[in-house]
Amino acid sequence: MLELKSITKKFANKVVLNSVNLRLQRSQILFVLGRSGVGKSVLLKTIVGLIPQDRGEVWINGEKTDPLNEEKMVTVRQKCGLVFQMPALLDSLTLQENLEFGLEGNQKSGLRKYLDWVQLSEGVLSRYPSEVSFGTQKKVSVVRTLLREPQFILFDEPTTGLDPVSREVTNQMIRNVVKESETGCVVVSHDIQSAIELANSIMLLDEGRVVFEGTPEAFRNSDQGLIRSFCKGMVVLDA
Amino acid sequence: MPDLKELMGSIGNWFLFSKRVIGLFFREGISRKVLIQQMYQVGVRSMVTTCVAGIFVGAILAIQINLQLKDFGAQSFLGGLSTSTTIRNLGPVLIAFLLSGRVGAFSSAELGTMAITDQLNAIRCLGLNPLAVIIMPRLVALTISSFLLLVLGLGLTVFGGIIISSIYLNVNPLQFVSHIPQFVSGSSIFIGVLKSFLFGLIIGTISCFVGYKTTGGAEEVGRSVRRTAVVTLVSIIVIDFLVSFVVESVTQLIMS
Amino acid sequence: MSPIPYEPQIEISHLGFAFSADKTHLLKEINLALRAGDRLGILGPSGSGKSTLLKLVSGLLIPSQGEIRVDGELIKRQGLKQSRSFSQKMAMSFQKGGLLDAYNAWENIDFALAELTDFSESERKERSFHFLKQVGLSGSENKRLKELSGGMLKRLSLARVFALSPSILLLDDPTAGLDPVTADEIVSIIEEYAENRSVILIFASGDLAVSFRLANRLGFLWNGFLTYEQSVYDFKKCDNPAIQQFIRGGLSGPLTEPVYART
Repeated sequence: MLELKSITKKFANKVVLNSVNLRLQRSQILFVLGRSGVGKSVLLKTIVGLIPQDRGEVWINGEKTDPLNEEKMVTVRQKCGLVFQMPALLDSLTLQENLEFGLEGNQKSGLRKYLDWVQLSEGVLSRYPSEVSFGTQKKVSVVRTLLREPQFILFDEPTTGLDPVSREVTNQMIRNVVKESETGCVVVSHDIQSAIELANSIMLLDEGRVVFEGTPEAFRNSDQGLIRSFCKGMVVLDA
Repeated sequence: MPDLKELMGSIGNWFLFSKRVIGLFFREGISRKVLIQQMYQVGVRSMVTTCVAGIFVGAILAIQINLQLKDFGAQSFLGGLSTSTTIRNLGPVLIAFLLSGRVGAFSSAELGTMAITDQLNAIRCLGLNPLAVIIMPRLVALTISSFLLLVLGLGLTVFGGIIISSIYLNVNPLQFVSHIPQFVSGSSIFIGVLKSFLFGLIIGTISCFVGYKTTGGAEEVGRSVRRTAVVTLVSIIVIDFLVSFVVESVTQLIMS
Repeated sequence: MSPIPYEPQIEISHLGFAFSADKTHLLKEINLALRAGDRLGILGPSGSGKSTLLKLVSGLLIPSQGEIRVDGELIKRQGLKQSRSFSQKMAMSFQKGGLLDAYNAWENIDFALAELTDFSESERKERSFHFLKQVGLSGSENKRLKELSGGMLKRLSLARVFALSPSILLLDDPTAGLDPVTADEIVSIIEEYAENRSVILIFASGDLAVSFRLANRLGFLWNGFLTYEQSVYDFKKCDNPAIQQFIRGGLSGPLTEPVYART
């Protein structure tokens, strides 16, 4: 289980995360929604210790993380992967080399399976990141994390900037990941549609605070002003 | 102008960074494949420029020294004096200047870009240490390549001197070469090689440190490149002075 | 200087475009007629040429074949020098950037006004501040670009467009990367501007909700052709499989994911 207790983070004078609590079991999908710049990405980076929190604790499988201890965080990151919004692949390596970077031999065996999940053909892997589309780069960065077989995966805006077709592939991939590997997923996103379709629970952040936490149905039916504004962003096809 | 406290802080950080990365090298070593790959990227491409620079540096200094020697009618000593001066002092410095721009600035830009596009963070998130898998190979490759390029360049300064002397200064190549052993002692060569190594280390550590610490956007990467160039140049001059000073003083002491 | 009250008109006939002679045409045959009050939303998969189409209308790119006429005036083929009156008719906002780092918020608007209008210095400053207020950026006039959030930068781009009081607005993905609430606010700002003015609005967007709300005509750009429906309602109901796949998302249909980078 992944657990956050009262995570608080301040940048200059702005409180970006204010006593955020979170709980995620394996095989569950949690969507974290909120306006831009509200601290959603910071939350993910805090979980893996890239940005140490000012106050509060992160617990993974019953162990508290120590973000100031880089060596210990290495083990945490092997259990909990983070997929960035921008693919962040190494430009000087081919896609294949990016995937295999730092991997032991026996971990490469899952490659075929994961490529299928993201609908990527092996032939593309000999190319360099600059030669492939944004969507392809994003897929490779996901497979890169999947190969490490973490217990939890954090996705930072996985469908932003993607075509509707690619969005569906991404959502399908997340479903597979959760079902086949029992991975717990935290997805930070603007994509209300995907949130409603995929999430077991939805969390809404506003001004650093958790203002909603519950099921997608509860989210849809909520009459909170902010939630209604968010839901306006959903496409109504039958009107 | 940075204030003194900030300056000392930066120097301290650079020192700790270098110690950490070099420590990683000694503890974990580096795969030969990775090292050669990095050295190719960094070094091989700069070989032509370094050779050209070496030849010209040697030529320039030969002309300069020749001017002084002519007044004394001591042109026969041109080869020895020119080579000695070049190898001990100006040669390493000038060629290192060239390399800091070509090789140091490039690495600093590359690492800076990796830092700001979250590539280094992404590697951390895979459970790897970017210092060990990205920075250290580059730093080691940069240092070794710079060192080798410097030595190569220095060697070519002799040729530069020979060429210009025979074409332009009317000094016979054989004559040029003949006095070299007389003036270019073991200590000269030692100083030249030592400086080459230290300058290589400076180029390697500073460009990697500045690149790695880049935060922000594209503008900051540009700033990092500029900072690398300036700091490297100044450090080279300072170290050049210190080494020369120390070696001369020690030599004096030994002589007396 | 307000534009002479008139009704702008755009006519695009047999428009085709390729980036270089040996490459396949990105845009193959586009035909379009727009008049005042039209708000055309161009939807389509990434790489289909939405931004390119906007740039062609604005004169930043030259058609490979066909012609574009604005108020009867043919967009010249010789590069970027259009008549000044032409440049004054339209204003474009860009997907990424398009603003100048060297200037602060109000100076960005002032710069454009200085280039394209005849206002005096004090008039320009007043106008800049006025339009910053219109888009909700009061108080941020002197901020540098890096102090502004993504949403604020989009507002600034719009303010710059509005300040030029164009009759033709070309907006390239005005809500790209914004969260739904901010995107909604941007759409409101655009709607408010277009409300009582005789303008033509052409915008490209990857966001269905934004497009459905803002447009009164929708076009789907794909494979070099523009499938152009007369209303949002018709668009949603049309039986073009590509459009249906695009609206519903999903893998079943003629649309495929782009694998390689667009060269």
